[in-house]
Amino acid sequence: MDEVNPYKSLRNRAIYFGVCMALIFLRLIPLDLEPNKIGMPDFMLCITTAIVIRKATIAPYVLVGVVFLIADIMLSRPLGLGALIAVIGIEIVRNNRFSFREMFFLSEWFLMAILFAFMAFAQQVALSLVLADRLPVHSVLIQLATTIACYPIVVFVISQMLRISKPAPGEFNAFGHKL
Amino acid sequence: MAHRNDQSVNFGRTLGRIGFGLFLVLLLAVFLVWRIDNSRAERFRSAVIDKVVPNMDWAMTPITKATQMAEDFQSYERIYQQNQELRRQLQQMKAWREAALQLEQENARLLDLNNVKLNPRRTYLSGELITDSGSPFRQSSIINIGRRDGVKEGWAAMDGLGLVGHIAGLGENTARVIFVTDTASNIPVIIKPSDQKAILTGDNTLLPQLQFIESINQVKPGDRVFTSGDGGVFPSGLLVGQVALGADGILRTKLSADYRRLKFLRIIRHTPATPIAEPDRLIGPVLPVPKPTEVIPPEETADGRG
Repeated sequence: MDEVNPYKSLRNRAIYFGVCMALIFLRLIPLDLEPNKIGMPDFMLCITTAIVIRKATIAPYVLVGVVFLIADIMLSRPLGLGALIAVIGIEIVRNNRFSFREMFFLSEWFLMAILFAFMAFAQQVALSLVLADRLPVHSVLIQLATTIACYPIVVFVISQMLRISKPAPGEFNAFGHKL
Repeated sequence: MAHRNDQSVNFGRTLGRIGFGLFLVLLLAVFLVWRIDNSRAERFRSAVIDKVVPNMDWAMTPITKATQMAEDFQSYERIYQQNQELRRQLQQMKAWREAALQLEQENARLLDLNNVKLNPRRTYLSGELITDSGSPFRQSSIINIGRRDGVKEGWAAMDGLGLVGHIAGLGENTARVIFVTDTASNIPVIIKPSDQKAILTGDNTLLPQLQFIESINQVKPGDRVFTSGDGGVFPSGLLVGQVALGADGILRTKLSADYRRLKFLRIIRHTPATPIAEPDRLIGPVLPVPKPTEVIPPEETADGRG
């Protein structure tokens, strides 16, 4: 398994980091300067949660925090807030990953939708607590909807194409720990 | 190494939890620093972007170009209709050009009669857009000129025709332009011909709202909107667009700048006129400044002698 081979684990982390950087880069390309109604989905959040459920070692919390902090800096968002909320949200998923693995995909999707909604809400609350400008509500809702809609696609790509699938219940690694 | 007993696992977990807590505190501290010392945090951000973004140019240009080519290719399908449409528009434009020339001549004559002096200092710098904001919430972009080229905060950015936004955030070689469509953008404007003043507030659409109009009755859809220069940050008289009435009854501005084809921006150099704050200086001769006479407290002199 991954945890035995540190090089493979390191390589997977590097790939995860690279994919996230590529996503940030793609968003910065000035293709469409018109304010568009349909916001881009937050692919980074989808990918990270889907990976954490399936193979938690690829995205440790420090890496998640660094990746989202870079996104905050580059995409002109409030510095640190996106990273803070992402790390907390993803850590909740990580702590419950065993129960996520046992459930059907539909319930996983439903719970993710609730989690993403809470994260968006927490961001608005944090911004109003420090008396900063809140994000326009309708854009937030649209982005939330597209993110939730994209989650199955991301999961499909990750589990079917990249073969990062949920370990069967009762699978153990070489150390004898539960995966 | 492969064999760890329960105690060390527990110890490791506790350490891991403390580490996680510290990490969260660190991120929270970053957020609070961003909020408390916002200008410094934003300077840090523009410094990072200044270092990173120009280096990504080699990768960005091909993708941008390829997409533009694909879009252009799609437009070949409609080339005949476009041609016809352009011919029609050209015909209309000729009429307008004639009218504009006549008006320009008339204007020049009138200005000459009135002996009006226009601000000769309105020159501009040109910059190319490198990236956009990457977020649906922020309407902004980064251009490839910065402090090194003499760009200053608050200067207006235009495409060839209309106002696009203003500079907010400066790096050495890059600068961020906040578009007028951004929710953080509030620009004082004047509506011609009724000379009503208003504030142009972005709301993430292509039609920013006109707020705080003195008397709405005098403003009609189709009226032209210019910057008013109130507040001294913006030069006055830059074309913004035309008044439009939304379906919701809110007065908005149809922007003259073409956001779909933004590629280069003109940054208008603007040195605000020196404010006249002290009227006496202006009218009379320069008065001698009274010398502050030092009053020595009696106790101190007594101490010095004793």
